Parts: sequence; C-alpha cells; structure tokens
Amino acid sequence: MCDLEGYVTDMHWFPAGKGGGGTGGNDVFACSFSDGSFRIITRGGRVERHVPDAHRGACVSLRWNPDGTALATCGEDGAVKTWGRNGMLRATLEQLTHAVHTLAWSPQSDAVALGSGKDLYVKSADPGGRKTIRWKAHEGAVLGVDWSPLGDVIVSGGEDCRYKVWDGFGRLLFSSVTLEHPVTSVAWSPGGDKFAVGSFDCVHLCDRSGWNTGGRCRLTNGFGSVFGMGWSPDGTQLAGGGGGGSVFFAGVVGSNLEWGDTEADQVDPHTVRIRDVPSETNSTIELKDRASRLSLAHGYLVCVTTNQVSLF
Amino acid sequence: MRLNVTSTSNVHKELVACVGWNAFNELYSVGDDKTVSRWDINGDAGGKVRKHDRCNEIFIRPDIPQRIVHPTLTSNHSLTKPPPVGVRPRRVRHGHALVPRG
Repeated sequence: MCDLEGYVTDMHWFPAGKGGGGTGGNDVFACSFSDGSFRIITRGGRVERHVPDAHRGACVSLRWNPDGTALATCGEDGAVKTWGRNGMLRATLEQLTHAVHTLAWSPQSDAVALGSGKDLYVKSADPGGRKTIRWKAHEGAVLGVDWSPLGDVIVSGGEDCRYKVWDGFGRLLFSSVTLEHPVTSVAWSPGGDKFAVGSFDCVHLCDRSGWNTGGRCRLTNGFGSVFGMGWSPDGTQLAGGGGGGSVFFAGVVGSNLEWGDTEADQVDPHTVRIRDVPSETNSTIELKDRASRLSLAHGYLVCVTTNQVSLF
Repeated sequence: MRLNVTSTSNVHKELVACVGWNAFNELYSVGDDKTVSRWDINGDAGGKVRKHDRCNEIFIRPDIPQRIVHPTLTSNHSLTKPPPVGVRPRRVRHGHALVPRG
C-alpha cells in the first residue's frame, strides 16, 4: 500500500470511536521503528506525524490506550513514554535497566503491563496511582503480553515456550504446558472470551481461563514464528504475520451449542447447522454476514452478525 | 471452538513484524521489506493506494491555530505560520486540542 523508510517493529490502530470526525478517529495508526522513532500514519498511507528520537535504540512496541487519549511506547533503552494524540511527549512512565519488549494497556486506561526480561510489571499510568508491581513471569524473556478487554486478566508469552494467565496483581491463574517453540505473540479477542497464542508455524486458541480449547492450528510450512496477531473488530477473524513474510487469516469455527434435544454447530462463519438429535434431522442456516455470536435456548437460535440479529 | 485457516498469502518479501485491524474490517500489515499492505476481511490483498517517498515533515493542522512545539527543537520554537500553499485543509477533529508545552 505504501513504502516506509526504516524497519517497523510494531503498529497499532487508533481505537475506534474515540476521536472526532465521521470515522471516529479510527483512520490513523501508529508505527514504531527500529531507529527509535515512531510515526502516525493515516489510512491512506500518508505520514501525519513523525517523532524522531522517541527512544535511544529501537522503539520496540507501542499501544494507544483504549480511551484514545494517549499513546504508550517502549524501547530498547528501557523507557516507557506516553505521548499525546499529536505526538507530543506527555511523560516518561518508567525507566527500567533493560529493554522493554512488550506493553499492554488495561481496559480502563489506568495502568500498563510491561514485559522486560523475564519480569512483568504493572505500572499505574497516573503519577499518584497504585504502586508498581513487579514479578518474575517466565523462565525466558517475555515476548508478548496482552490485557483482557473485559477486566483484570493479563496473558503473557515467553521464550520458555509457555503462556501464562495472570490477574492484575501478578497472581498466576493459569500456566500452560511447555509448547514446542517459544511463544512470540498473544492476542485477546475483542469480546474477551478467548485469546490466541502465536508460536513457530502454529497458533493456539484458548478460552479465557487459558484452557487450550481450540488445540493447535498448524500454519503452512515456512510460515515462521507469528510475530504479530490481531482479531478483527467483530472477533470472528484472526490474522497474523510471520517470519516467512506471509500473512494468515483464520476464522473461529466449531462453536457447539446444545439445548434439550437440539444442537447448533457453526460449520463456517456463514453457516450454522442445526441437528435434532432424536429424529436425526439436519437443517442448515445460511447467514449473509459473519456470525460473531450464537445462542441456543428455549427453542430459539439467536445469531448476532455485524449488521443484524437473526432469530430462528 | 477451533481455528480454521482460510488463507495464507505471501505478499511481503520479508518478515511481517506486525498486523492491525481497523474499524472498517481492513487489516494492515507491515513487513521488513518496508511496505504496508492492506487486506480485506476475507484475506484478499487490497490494491495499492499510493507510494510516497520521504516523509520527514510535520503536518500542522490549519484548523487549530495554536502554538505547536516540535519535539526535536531544543528551544521552545513556536510554529504559528499558516500552512504552505498546496496543503489540503484537513477535517477538524474534536476532543484533542493541542496543548502548548515547554
């Protein structure tokens, strides 16, 4: 779409509906670069702001807060800085001794979770906020962290090939088995009911407690490690980019519902199969849009898509 | 509940470091080949929008006549000049007026 000069380390879209204008402000994204700068780029590819020397060394990651009022960046210099919408420095939140590899905002925009070395930090975004909490999260470097959009649940992934689920105070809620390869990225779905874990050549889908319900989803050979992942706004599609230069798209299927003698099974994003167990009759419902949520109870099936709610 | 990979595309020539969705159900991906690609929700690569060369300038919004301090300027240099000819006035966004700093 457009070319940039410099190596991009991370990007993040301005949160939808938090700015002005007809598009709610969701027409710009921020990109961090390996030379320590970051840019704010419009949807059309024009650079709106360029902030050079935001960090010494590379600017590793950056995230808008969910309010859309601040952008947090972290760098190899161990600094975590917040910036205004126009790229002006607000504050240096934290200065650590080691590079900060990843960060995530809390849903209330009042705290950030940082991954530096083997440790996770939860740092209040207000100067007079709660004390910074630090704990050892992994046996290797923390490579990915994400904060649930629903509440005080943080998922982290590390070089020790594990992903772990924590609460906002650093208490361990779930620790995975050791996977085959290091966990390079984690991403909560917008609904907060599941998250994806990216590793080498594969993606794992987990429910909110951390249980690996979706099993391992293998990607094509040569895909490489999944470095960046994101859920579509309706939570039906997961996309990620890999070390091999490929981008994958995956839909969530196979959510199975039961009520009485009836079963509903999502075959693909547009199709729901209804099965009446005693009579063994099947019927299929085709939807125009992607079904983001299904519910089956009291003889009715409710399908929620991006544009409509259907009742059967 | 499981994932079903619908497409895997190889548009970038090098490592893809990050991806992001916007509210228009478009995915943007940025790779180490220094390009930004656009995708729709089905995984089809979007057309090229445009290409730009160097982009080191700071755009000043003509609709907010406030003092703007460039972060790299050592002194509190204020830029209140009118926009250069040819810069298209941009849509007014509310809620984030520029605050003078320094």
